Amino acid sequence: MLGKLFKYDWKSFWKVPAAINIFLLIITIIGAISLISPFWELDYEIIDTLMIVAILFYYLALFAGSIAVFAYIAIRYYKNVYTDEGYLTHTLPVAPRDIILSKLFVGAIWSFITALVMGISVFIILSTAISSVELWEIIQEFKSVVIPEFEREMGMSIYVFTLLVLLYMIINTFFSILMIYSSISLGQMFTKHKVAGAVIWYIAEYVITQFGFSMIINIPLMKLFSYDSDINVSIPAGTIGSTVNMMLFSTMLITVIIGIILYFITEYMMRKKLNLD
Amino acid sequence: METLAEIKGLTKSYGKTLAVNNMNLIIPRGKIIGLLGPNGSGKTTLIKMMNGLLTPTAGSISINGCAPGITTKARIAYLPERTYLQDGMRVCDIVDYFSDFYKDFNRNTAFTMLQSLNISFTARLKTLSKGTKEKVQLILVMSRNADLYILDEPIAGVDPAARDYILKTIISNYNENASILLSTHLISDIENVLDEVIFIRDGQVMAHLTVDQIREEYGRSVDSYFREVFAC
Repeated sequence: MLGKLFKYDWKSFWKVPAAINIFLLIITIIGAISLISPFWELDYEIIDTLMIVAILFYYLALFAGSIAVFAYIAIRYYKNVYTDEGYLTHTLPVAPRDIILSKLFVGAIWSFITALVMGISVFIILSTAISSVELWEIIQEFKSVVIPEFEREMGMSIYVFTLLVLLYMIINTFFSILMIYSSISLGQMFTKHKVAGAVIWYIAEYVITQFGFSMIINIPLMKLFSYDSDINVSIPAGTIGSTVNMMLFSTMLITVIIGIILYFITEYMMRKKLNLD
Repeated sequence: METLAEIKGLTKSYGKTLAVNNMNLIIPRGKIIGLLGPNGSGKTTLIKMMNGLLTPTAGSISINGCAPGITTKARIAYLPERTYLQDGMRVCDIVDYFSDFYKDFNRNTAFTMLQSLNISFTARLKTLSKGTKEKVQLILVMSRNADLYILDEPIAGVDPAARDYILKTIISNYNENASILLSTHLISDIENVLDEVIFIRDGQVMAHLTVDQIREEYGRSVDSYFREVFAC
């Protein structure tokens, strides 16, 4: 049944995020074309200001795009599960687990696609802005100096590190969506103003988890900074690397644990506390 | 008489308000049963609990021996009093949807009924009138070969001609092991198809009678009996 749910969830979901991503690509193409135009070579003071405005606009477009996809994930879940559409969703002979997982995967896939499109967009803009000779020099510098130094310090190859960061991004995407789903489900405990209830739960979850994560990151960082305060003691080789590794692994582990807890909250609310108006 | 559904001590409260109050009820197989009562008497609340859309405060519901869940949902065809279909979908998409999820759904029955009511297969729901959407939903529900059909106000929004067709469909489309629980205000329209009636008031069952009983013992129609019992 999960496959069937996924099929219909995908059908009812894809149009809006696809449109948002197409919009982002159009902005990118316009940006790239304008960057190679001779306009920016003109010798007026206002040109610099215009460049800043253009960059700001581009940044805002990327930001708005990712927020819009996330907002749409929340809206679709709320509408399909807790409004009139819920009368069909919850009378299908399917388990609450399948309902949640299907929407979780559809939402996560579109989040990845959006992240990918944004990455491609930034790459296109940067490679247009920087001349190919400069870009080549930067890449060579990275290969010969930065990456070996980085690998020595971290004690792992750059590829493994990149994979770990990607894995963290994937985990974090699922986690962020589960935060939305669980807060919408918990918002149903309010007899009136259920949407406001969901927002309150979301803020509460956000504050608590951010506080937890900042603790994981700040405590080891403070230890690192303590070396810095004494100029006679240099930081032992590999300390930064092992600290970063520890932060990455512990953040990942805790994200997975809290994510699983949020999933079970969502499922519990759907299985035991469902009260459609 | 074989029992299809049994409700024991069922209660649903919203704060201090009791929407359903310690209700006990047995629904037999093979009957068309009217669920009648004034506004706010608890009809829809009862129906929603039977379909697993509301969590009871106390008591139990058993359908085919199971509490509301995946097994009961596979055997109940439910028509809510509101539109639950996504506006962007086409009529044929929704038929596919039902066909994918409900093993007891018969596509041919659905397409025949849609054709009889002149509803285009390719029309998007947002282009249909409210009454036509209700007809589509009813057709989907009645195209299933379920054990229990629960219809909440199925004919309120449709015109009299379609109403006759729908009632005819209801009678002819269900098998002898199945029952239909039909909640409505329009008693006179459905009176002739009913076998039994359940009268509900203030979240409790006031009476559960056969239509013959009302006619023979009280010498009146269900409609006039209802008006007398629920006189303001």
